[in-house]
Formats: sequence, C-alpha cells, structure tokens
Amino acid sequence: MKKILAIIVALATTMAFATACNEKTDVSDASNTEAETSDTQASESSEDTEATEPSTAESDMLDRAGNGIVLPEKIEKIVSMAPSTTQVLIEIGLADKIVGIDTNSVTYIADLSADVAQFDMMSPDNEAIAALDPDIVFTSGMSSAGGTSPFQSLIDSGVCVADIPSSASIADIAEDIRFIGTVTGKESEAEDLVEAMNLYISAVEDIAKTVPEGEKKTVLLMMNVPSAEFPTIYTVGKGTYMDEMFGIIGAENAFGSQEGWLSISIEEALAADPDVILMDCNWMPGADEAVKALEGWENVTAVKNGDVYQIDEDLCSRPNHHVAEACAEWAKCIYPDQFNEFNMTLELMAEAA
Amino acid sequence: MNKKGTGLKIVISAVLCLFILVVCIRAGSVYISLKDLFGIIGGHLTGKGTPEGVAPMMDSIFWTIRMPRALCAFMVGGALSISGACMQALLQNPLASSYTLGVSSGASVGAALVLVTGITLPVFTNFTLPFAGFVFGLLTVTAAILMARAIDRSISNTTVVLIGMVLSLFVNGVLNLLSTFDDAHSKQLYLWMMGSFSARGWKHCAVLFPVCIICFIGLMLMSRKMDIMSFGDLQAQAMGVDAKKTKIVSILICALLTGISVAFTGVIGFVDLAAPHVVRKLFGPAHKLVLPMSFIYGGAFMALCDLISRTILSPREIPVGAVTALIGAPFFAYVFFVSRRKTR
Repeated sequence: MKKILAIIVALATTMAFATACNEKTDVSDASNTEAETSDTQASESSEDTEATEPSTAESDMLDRAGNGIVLPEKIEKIVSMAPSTTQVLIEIGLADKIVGIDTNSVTYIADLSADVAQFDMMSPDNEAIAALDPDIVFTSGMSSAGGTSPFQSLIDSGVCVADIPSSASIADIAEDIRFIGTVTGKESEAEDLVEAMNLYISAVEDIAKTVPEGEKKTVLLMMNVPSAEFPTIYTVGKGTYMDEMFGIIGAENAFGSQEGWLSISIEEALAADPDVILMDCNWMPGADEAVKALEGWENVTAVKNGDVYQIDEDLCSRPNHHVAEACAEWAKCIYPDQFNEFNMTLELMAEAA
Repeated sequence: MNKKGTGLKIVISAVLCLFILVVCIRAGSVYISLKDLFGIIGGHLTGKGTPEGVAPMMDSIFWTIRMPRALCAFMVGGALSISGACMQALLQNPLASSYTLGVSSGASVGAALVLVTGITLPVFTNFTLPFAGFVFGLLTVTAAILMARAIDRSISNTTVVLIGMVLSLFVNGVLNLLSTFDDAHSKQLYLWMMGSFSARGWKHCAVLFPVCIICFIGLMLMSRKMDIMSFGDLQAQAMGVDAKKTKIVSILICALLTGISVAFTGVIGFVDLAAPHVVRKLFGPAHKLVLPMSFIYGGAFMALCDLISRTILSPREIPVGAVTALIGAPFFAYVFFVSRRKTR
C-alpha cells in the first residue's frame, strides 16, 4: 500500500514538473514573438504567419539550393555568411544594409559600417544572428560541408535564410550573382556584374587563343604544401569552376582527368610533372619557395624552371565575378609572353558594357 | 632441429624479406615496371645514374621518396624487434618489450621536448633527436625495471602490463600537456604518438644504418650470455656469467635502438613484442638466431605495415602505429592468455 502511494506521489511530482516546464517555454516563446513583432513593424504580417505556422508557410521562390524561401516585403538588414556573397552585395550597392558578416568577410570591412557583427561560418551563433533581426541571411555551401546546415535553428525560428551552395561552373556563379540581385531587388546591378565578368573572360580567351598549340602548358594547382605531418595535396579536377578557368586560359589542368575537388599523394603530383605550379594558399606566405625546396621535387619541370607561383586565394577561391580577374592572374603566371600586356580590370569592363 | 633445416629456413626467410622489400618499394600510387625499378636502383648503386628511357621523375619518386622510406621502415622495425627480443630474455618475460614497458613513450617525450624547445646538440646536430630519444628511453627503462622490482622480484606478466600502463599513461599525459602549451607543434606531437614514416629520407637512413649495425653486433656478441640469462639471474651467476654487467650493457643498447627508432618515427607498438615470438616459434630459443631473424622479420613486418598505412586510404596516410596496433594488440592478448594458462 505504501509503495503504491509512493509511486503515485512520484508520478504526480514528475507530472507537475513536466507541465511547469512546458508552461515556462510557452511563456518565453510568447514574449519572444512579442518582442520580435514590436521590433519589426515593417514586416509584421509575414512575421506573424511564420510564427504561427512555419511549416505550412507558402514559399515565394527557391534559393540556389532548391529550398523554398519566403522573402520579406522589404530588405533593410542583411547578414552575409560568405565572403563571395559579401563582395557581390557591396558591389551592387548594399554595403550599408549589411549588419552581419562571416569572419572571412573581414577583407571588405573597410566598405562596411563599423559596428557590423561577425560570425564564424562553420559554427555560427544563431541566437546572436537572430538578435540582429535580419530580413535575410545568405549562407554558402562552405558552411554545410559536414552535411547538415549549422543554420537550421535559424531557419526553424522563421528567419529568411537563402542558401547559395558552392558553384561548380562559371555559369552557375553568374546565376548566384543574379539570384542575389533578384532577392535584394537589384536585378540590373547584378546583371551588370555578370556582363562585366563574361566580357572579361572572353577577353582572356581571345589572348589565350594566340598561344601556339605546341606550347600548351600543364598546370598543377596546389592548396597546401605537403609535409611529413600532412603528406596529401589538395587540388582540383574537372567539374569545378577552377578547372573551367584552366580551359579559359588555354592551359591543361594536371588532374583534369579526375572529378571534383581532389586530394592526391606526393607521388601522383610528381608523376604528373607539371610545367607550372600555382599555390592557392594565402594562409601560408612563401608557399612557392617551400615547394621549390621540397626533397625529391627538383626534377619537376615547374621546379626546374622556377615556375612555381603564389596566387591570390581571395580572388579565385571566392566564387563570384572576380574569378574573371583570377583567370588573368593565373594566365600571367602560365603564359607571361602573351599576357604581360593585359591590364584589364572588371570596372573598365563594366564601363565598356 | 637439424642444422640443414635451419639453414633452409634462414635462406627462405631472407628471400622472403627481400621480396617484401621490393614489393614495398614498388607498390604505391604511381606504377613502375620491375625492369625500370631495378634499372634505377642499379644506376644509383653503380654510380651510372638513371638509365636511358626512364623518366627522371620516376627516379625522384622511387629513389628519393619511396626507397629510403621503405628502408627506414625496415630498419626501425628491425631495431625495435631485436630490442624486444633482448628485453624478453633479460626480464625472462614473454610480454616485455619497449612498447609494453612504456619505454617507447618515454623516448617520445625526449624527442618531443627537443622539438618544442628547439635545443640542439653542439656538434652533432643531426643526432640531437636520436640522442634525446636515447636518454629518455634509458630513463624510462630504468624507471620501469626499478618499479617492477619494487612490486615483485620475479617480474610477472601482470607486473609488466601494470608498469607499462602506468608509464604510458603518465607519458601520454606529459605529451598532451606539451601539445596544449605548444599549439604550433601539436599536430606533429599527435602524429608522434602513433608513428609515421611519411617523408623519411636518406638522411634518416644514414643515421639509422650505422646505429643498427653497431647495436646489432654488440647484442650478437652477448647472444650466448643472453641464452644463459633466460634461465634467471641465479643460474647465470652459477654458470659464470656476470649477469649485472650483461644486463646493463644490453639495456643500454636496447634503449639506444628504441630511442633512435622513436625519435625518427614516433611510438610504434607491438612489432617489438610480436616479431621475437614468431621467430622463437620458427627457429627455437637460441639468441644467435633469434636476434638476426627478429631483425629480418620485424623489418619486413614494419615495411609491410608502412605499405598498408600509405596505400589503404591513399592519398591519405594512416599512422603506421595504428596499423601495427590493429595487428599487434590481438597478438599481445593471445600471448598473455597462453602464458597465463601455462602458469596455472
């Protein structure tokens, strides 16, 4: 009898606790939504629909990842979680609307307002982002590299999150730029950027055609210097926009026969015997000299001729219209005779357009 | 066992070991024909240079990268194995070895300290790392034996396992502490705990080779005494062997062999335990055979493990210590249980 009583008492207390907890969360939820609505009078209506029934909300359009998104009526506050996107936003004239960026975007901090918030793109502080009350958050494929988006709780909270996965081709990069323009109501500005990029690329292609067939060079792009601790080399294969860049310049990618972003062994790199090596790693100054000093590499044509160059990672690794300029930078390393005189800039191209 | 049979076994073992070495040099992410491979090796040995028709890149890959690496693995495996064989004889314990006693871990602390502090020996700069490994290996082996003696004079299996565990855990703690204080080297230190032959070149072989030869000759000269000492210190004294002196000299040599191996590659476990056991099964307990055969078997085993470590997940490499542990840990358990059953 006593036992049964004890069990009943125990059950009753746990029930009481459980309901108390539920009530608590309900209360905090309510206060949250209240605070949000009072903060953002401009987008009150959309906020309400999302807050009440987020799962069944009708989506206006698809983002670049194919997820349905609901655009707020007006975009006044933007959070950009990728440097490539930040750069595009600035150049279509939205610098003053950016309230938050990822830590890699600090390269452009001079163009942004001084109190812009910074977040880690791999493990973002979603609460802090939500507290900025952004109208839209641009994310990139880099963040969801692990398979799940670190922004899920932000999406669930009803913030408009537009994902732009890492593009595999220059045509896709153009679509990314157009998408940013469409979403932010700057279609024509975005179109100008795309046009400038395409003009620039065809200018590079025209010069590349003057390289005689027999002088085509094989190029190895390396994103790190192999070491005893990490004897693997990261490079690119076909199906990447960087491989496409080699095609534009008229050079052969040493690992163009393989698919996607690659990791290769030192032996494979040596066996490829590239004519030119491009070091795509800003984080390691002097990587070009480090490669020349590697043991066993002295017979590689590129090392023998001293054709190992450090290129600007920020220019080619951030997939937006500036990859056009990266093409020219690479071309100057690979075919200096043909490209020495080439001094085009994207701005000049935009004016020409 | 008759003499003829033993001779045949030695020849077969030597041929097998050479075959494994060639396989290890040849296999990898870049293919080469046997003819080209021997052409390259022959060209270098005779001083004629790369033969006609072989790309200079092939020469780089096989002569500068793969061959020293395979030889390095072979020598380290051999060095660890003879030191293991020697320790098993001295402590009269089948589970004794540099790794199980924590000596390898101790040596790695010495090497890690050199790495972190950047201290170098005044004249022999190249020998700083092996020297530090030697000193710390010696310190740990002394500590291990003193502790073992303090627990029980006969040094049973359980004691060896216990001591090894205590020392390894302590040393791993020190290594972890070092890598926390020194972020720049933390990745290097971490790899050290598992061992790797990646990027080991001729300069490593050049240090390993003379040390291995000298230590090997030293131990061979004492092989007869080791046979006698396997019966225990008292018996050895009775038969006129200066047990104390032999013990000290051979422990010095073992510490040197372990220290240099660890300093160049990191902590690699279980070869030193397994190879001597296999050899004793095949060739009997006489140390004048056990020592050289342990070197050959341990070396070939290590070269194979290194081949696995660099090819199985190519282009990524897995630490060679992980490979030897996967094979060696079950073997360790097997020896432990078998010897327990015997004592019961």
